[in-house]
Amino acid sequence: MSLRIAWWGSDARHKATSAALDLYKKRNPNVEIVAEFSGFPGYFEKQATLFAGGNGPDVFQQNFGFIGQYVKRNQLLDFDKHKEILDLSTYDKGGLSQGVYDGKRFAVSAGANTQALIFDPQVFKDGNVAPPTDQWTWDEFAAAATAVAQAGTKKKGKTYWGSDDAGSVEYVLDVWLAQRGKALYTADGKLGFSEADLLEYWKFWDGLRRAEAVPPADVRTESAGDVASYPLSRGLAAMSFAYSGQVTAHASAAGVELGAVPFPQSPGGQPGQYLIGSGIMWSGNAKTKNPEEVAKLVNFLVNDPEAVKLLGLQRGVPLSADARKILADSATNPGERLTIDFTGKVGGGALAPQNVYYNNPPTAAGEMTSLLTDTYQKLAFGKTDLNGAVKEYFSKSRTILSR
Amino acid sequence: MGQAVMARLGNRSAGVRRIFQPGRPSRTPTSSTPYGFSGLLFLSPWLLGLLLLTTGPVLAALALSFTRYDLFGSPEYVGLQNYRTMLGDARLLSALRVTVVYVFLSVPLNLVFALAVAVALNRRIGGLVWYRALFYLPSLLGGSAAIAILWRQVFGRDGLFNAALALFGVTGQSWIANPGTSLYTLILLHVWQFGSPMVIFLAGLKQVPRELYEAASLDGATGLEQFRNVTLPLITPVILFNLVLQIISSFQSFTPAYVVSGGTGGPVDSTLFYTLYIYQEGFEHFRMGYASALSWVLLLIIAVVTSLVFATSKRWVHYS
Repeated sequence: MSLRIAWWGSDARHKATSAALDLYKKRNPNVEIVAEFSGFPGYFEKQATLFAGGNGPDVFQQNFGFIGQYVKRNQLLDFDKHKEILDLSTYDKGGLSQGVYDGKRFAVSAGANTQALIFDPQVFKDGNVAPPTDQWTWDEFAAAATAVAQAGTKKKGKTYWGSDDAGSVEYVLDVWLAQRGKALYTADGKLGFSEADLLEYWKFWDGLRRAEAVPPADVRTESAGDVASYPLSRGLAAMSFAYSGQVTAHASAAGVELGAVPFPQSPGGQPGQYLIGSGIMWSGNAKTKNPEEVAKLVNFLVNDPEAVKLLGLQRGVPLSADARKILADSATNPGERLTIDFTGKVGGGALAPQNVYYNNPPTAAGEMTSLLTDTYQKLAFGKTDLNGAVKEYFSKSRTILSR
Repeated sequence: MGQAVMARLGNRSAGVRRIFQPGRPSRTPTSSTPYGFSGLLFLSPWLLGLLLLTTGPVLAALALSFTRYDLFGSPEYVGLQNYRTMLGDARLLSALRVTVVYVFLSVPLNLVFALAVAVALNRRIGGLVWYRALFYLPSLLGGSAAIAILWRQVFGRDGLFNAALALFGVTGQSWIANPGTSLYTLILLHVWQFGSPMVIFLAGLKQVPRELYEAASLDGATGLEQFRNVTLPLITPVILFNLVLQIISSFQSFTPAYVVSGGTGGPVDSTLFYTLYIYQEGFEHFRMGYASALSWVLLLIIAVVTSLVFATSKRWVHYS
């Protein structure tokens, strides 16, 4: 009997997952496992094509932005039918509500994440700039970014920036909006913010770019893709916006120890930050020939102590309390410790209420992500001005969301 | 039995003669003879590929182009709607612009470069075989994703090209991440892959009779004049062949733009090849019907451009 499993990720995630699957094969000699892994670009295009051809893998790594399409088209295995095999009793209650659509469990969280402002503490020290704190405001962030950029440039003898430019980063805009009582999307799949909100957001980043506190458009464009290409990882900037599960990957790419704090806050003090229980999930194929075996494999990946250790924090901090304890006890690397502590601190042990972005994104969420990147890029390359970019985003988004 | 074998062999050699004497009226090379069947059999790997992997999908795409199809559900007939949508599609317009610039710059440059190298190699120099292999190498690697990734490294902000510029005190930008220059790096990548046309040009150059050069030099023609008045006219059929092949393959080029731009066609759609736009519509946005309609329009564009080239060829191609 053979099972196909697919995921995307970095090299570290491939190695960890392959090791866990080897262990599974050793324990279950009757099961042959075919692993199909790649980077994120192209992953969902490939899965969609496989599923359309009736050839989808038995188990595959799922993402909050894409799951809706599979649910809508009845492509996913209902894990509730295999409750006695897939044990979720140690999962945090808040996290259990995710991955459930119309009372059916179509996905199981592979790890929780939260938004993290990560930074290189050494650069702040060298430049005599006070490092980020848990209570930072956006104004403090902007001032520090400018100061660190100047100090870093002087020290390194080449252009250095205070932070990555997050003008096109959707999950930063998401928090920024939450801090103002808004959201990316309303529950019925429309835009949850106004032109004035976007204008304010882009004005902030546009100003920082003009002040050379964040990189110019071409450097930012080169950062699209994997963690290793980000300005922080390349030793070009002191701060970056990430998910907590990416801290170790960033740190190893940059070759330095990193610090992590929540995203800066709005002057009113609203954190806007929240725990994402199900950024990355496991889903099964509704058409699998071996649904029990699928449930068994997923159960192994999220519950088995040995597997939990092998998989580590590659997909975030586990939602199972038992798994979390195993990892907290065995974490040796400072980056891992930081991830667990930081994610726990923001989550506070329980999951904060989720917003629509993660719980029920519109079907065209992927296209909307591209729209944000493309329009901001036009602004950053000087192909349009602030008002023009905002207008273009809103007119195009109406077309996309109404389709 | 021995006789039968002999008879067959005899027949076969007659068949071979037929093939190599196209002027002679052929007898009956139809599938009713056993050789027609074995001919088909030998062709079958290619024929099956053509029918199953090319003709089938091409026709299926034509049918799909009249539907709305999201890959998962069943296609739903919408008539000409996809073709109408194209008329007001701003991204399609930029994709067309990018593709036309790419084809019209990279094809001539590629051919000129290939011909220049072929001429340089078409003389009696030591180690010619090695030079030829060396110059062909980029084309062997060319279609691969690895070279496109290499290109990112060479023309990135911290790339080799900027390192070279730095030697002259020039601080370079990122050439691939800048909308003003990104397409030109892809054109350069294409020009660099001049191996196949070069080999074909070399074969063409070898066909030019030496006596003509001898006669020309007796008449006092310089090297350049010989090239213009002897070489060039005689290899025009080869130029036409290379031109048509290159135009078709450039219109269909996908991998370099996909890999160098990370699948986005960016920055700011500056490397959005037509094929990349088809891919995004079909596989990222699940509008397979629209993507199929786009594919058919591309097919028609290529057909029109190619037939224009053939139409003009009567004026400049000489078959001696």
